[in-house]
Amino acid sequence: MQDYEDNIFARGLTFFGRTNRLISHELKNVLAIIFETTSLLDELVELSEEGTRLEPGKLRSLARSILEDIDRGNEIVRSMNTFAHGVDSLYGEADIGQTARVMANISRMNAAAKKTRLEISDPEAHTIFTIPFLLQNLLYHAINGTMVGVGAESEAKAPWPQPSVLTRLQWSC
Amino acid sequence: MNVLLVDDEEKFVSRLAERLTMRGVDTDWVTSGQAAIEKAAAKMYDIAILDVKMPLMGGLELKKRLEAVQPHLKFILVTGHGSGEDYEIGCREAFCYIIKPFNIDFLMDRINEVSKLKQSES
Repeated sequence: MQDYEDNIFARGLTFFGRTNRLISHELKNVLAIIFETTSLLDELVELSEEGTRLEPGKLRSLARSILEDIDRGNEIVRSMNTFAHGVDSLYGEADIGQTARVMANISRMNAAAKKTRLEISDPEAHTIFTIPFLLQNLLYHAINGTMVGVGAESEAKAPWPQPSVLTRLQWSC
Repeated sequence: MNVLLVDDEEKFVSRLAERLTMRGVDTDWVTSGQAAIEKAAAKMYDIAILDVKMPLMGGLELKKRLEAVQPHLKFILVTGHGSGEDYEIGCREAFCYIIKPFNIDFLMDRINEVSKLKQSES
């Protein structure tokens, strides 16, 4: 049993590190956009002080864009936080739908999957007793594989199965 | 100097292009490798500034494709990553390698260096 648990963590560390790299890269992209937008705003204001007319509509558009990107950054941090909590304990309860949504958000940060639209329909919560981190790992690879396989600028739908045909996930120790 | 900017993040690339234009740099921007190849088929550029990680065609593959169309093009690679290995690959493959977010004065200095290099080569 101890060997099995050690194996989970050894393989899991690679997935954990790779996923965190993906998330940090996406966050850096958002910070870079905010940096460019505020720098442009600053330079436009400087030009207006030198006499160039500043369009209020342009200022408003840039300001709103910053707010949108802050929202985007917050969403990334939320996904990161939920993912990080997956290792709070080895065994525990996990909502499959919520886990799928978080791993789909993280999959979208993968450059190869960025332009693929994924829709997950999930009318109600389905909670199972499992190894939450393994569930994250499994769902990430299934979702990411689908998105990359379907290809850029394509659409993938993941309709939620009805309770009567819900797949049972079991791990043996 | 004619500069081609390529990054899949439209907000980033369009605002950087605007700031470079304000500094007197003739700048075109696109958000995909395919669009960059189409631009390069229609207009001569001095520098291509490419994001490394993009969907469908990354910066390194795009660099090879653009070199085939415009062999004299100089490249600056841009990335959100910052690993040592990425830096070595970037510096080997391009004129220079910049990590986002970056100071535009640093980019302008690199553009001016390329300008002087091209003048000495001609």
